[in-house]
Amino acid sequence: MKADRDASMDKLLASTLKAGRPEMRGVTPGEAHLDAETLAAWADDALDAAERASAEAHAAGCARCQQLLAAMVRTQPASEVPKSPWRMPSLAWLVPLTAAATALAIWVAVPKPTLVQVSSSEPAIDEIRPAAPRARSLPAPPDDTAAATRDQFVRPDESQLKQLARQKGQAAIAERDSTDRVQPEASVLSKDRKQESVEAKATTPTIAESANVAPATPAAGGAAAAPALSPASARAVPRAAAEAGARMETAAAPSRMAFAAGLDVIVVSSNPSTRFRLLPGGGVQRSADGGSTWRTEVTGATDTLRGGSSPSPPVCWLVGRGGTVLLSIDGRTWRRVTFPETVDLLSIVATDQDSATVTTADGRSFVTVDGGQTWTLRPGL
Amino acid sequence: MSYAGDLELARRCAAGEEQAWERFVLEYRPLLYRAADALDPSGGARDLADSLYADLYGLAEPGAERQSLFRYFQGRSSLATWLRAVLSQRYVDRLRAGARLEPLPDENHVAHRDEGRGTGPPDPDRLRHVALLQQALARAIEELDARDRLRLGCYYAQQLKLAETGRILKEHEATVSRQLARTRRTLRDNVERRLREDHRLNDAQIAECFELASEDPGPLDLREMLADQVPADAARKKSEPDRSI
Repeated sequence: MKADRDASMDKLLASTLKAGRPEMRGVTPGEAHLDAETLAAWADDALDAAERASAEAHAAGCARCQQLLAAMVRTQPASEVPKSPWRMPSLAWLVPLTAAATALAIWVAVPKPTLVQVSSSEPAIDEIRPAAPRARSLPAPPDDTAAATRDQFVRPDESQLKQLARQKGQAAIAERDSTDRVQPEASVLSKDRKQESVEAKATTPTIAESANVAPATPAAGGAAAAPALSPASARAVPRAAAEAGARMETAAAPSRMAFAAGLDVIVVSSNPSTRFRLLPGGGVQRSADGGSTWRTEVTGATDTLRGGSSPSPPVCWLVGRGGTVLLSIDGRTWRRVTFPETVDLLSIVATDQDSATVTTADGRSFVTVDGGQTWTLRPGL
Repeated sequence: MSYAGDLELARRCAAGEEQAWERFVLEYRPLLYRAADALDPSGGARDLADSLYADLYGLAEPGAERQSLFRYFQGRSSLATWLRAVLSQRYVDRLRAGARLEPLPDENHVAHRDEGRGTGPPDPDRLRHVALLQQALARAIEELDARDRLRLGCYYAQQLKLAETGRILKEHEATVSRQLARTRRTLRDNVERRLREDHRLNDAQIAECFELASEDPGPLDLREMLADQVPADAARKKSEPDRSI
């Protein structure tokens, strides 16, 4: 009954408190919305108590600022999401320590098997086993094992103890996680909402994977993730800024450093199982199993590739320095597409094997609709 | 926490220092795009990131002084968080501006819903009970303290997850869950009290109110419902005895 009451209220709230509903509008006319500075300080926990209370009071009745807060949370990188205190590096040592202590306690608490003295000079191992449950999983020693070996058999060695402790530690973590995720009060929430935290903790899909071009690092992604600019935005982007982007590899070569560190640019196809990894010096690797295994492709390119677009698993366009454009329509063989200029190319957005839009380092966009045979400067740029 | 380094970078970028701008492009441009993709996975927010990028650079009209958006960064947060905040602000404002241009729902949508069910003309008691419940709920929500209302808004209106709501309120998701449950109990008690005391509904009628609202939550709009129903309710009270008493 109590759960029914809670469930009906949950449903009622879910239907009533849609964004912008009047009852959530408690803002005094003329009251200023949260500005970016305050919003950012709130997100970084840099507001003092009074500022915080004031901001919360405003946001409580302001649909716009609630939307802003929600947008801020959604853009928070996974790396900045606070972890459970147990997962903090400073406390991480407690986990194996606790597990080891537990294992030791079990070791002490469980009675040691009594070695039955037999008339023979060798004790019967079979008489020991029933009294030593913790040794069941261990391999049986040979019959002619000496007394020292028997002791070793009955008492797991240190490495086995550590292994047991590790297993217990992992089990303890798993149990704690599952306990954390159980929300007794949330039992009345709709099914999808109940599983939300579990899903969020289990696998947080990276933004990079959801995008067609998936930079593995900010450094490498900076060049690779540059989009084809819309006419308006392309006009707005300063040429110097674009050139600065282009210099990322040519001047300080940070991308090369990223490559050297094993942090590559990965182009994810429309089917995420197929991915292309761009290597320094024009190398490309292809994975058909979501990145578990990679096969090196021969492209013939020597210039560093900076980005790509794979509208379907067999089709992939890649661009790079000096007007390098590569196209594969079978996912295995690559052909170099002639580009009208030797300008550095930052990114490409392709819709199929014929149509693609390339963005140059100086902010212009070129379009092809015939597989790269002809390129047209996007008008108005 | 001090963000002096970020502030210095912003100052140098605003001044147009080439090296600083290079560093900014290298470190923060991918962040902007990732944030834009998080806001709109279809890529619809990337143009906002591009225009923000341009504003940060501070394009100037010929002859005019360059005005970079960086000058608004005061170092109260990290530069990365501030960039996300500015991008979010622009995204939400565009979203809301777009929403204002959307056509209003059909004025007969309630009637159409009822027609769809094949239940004939709407039951006046049903409409009245739903309106009373909504009215009582609105009042009960108004009485909550700001933090509780914000938690409700984040979870129900913005449809954030428990953990996300907790990040805004600096609470653990288990705490958010507990607090939401407590708030629901408070609201339920207050709504029932109001229906009982102000509108003289009995337990069975109150239960019916919740049942009706649960059966057909629909796009309820309190202002719309109350404007239609409360005067009708008053007129009805004048003309006939209130059966709910």
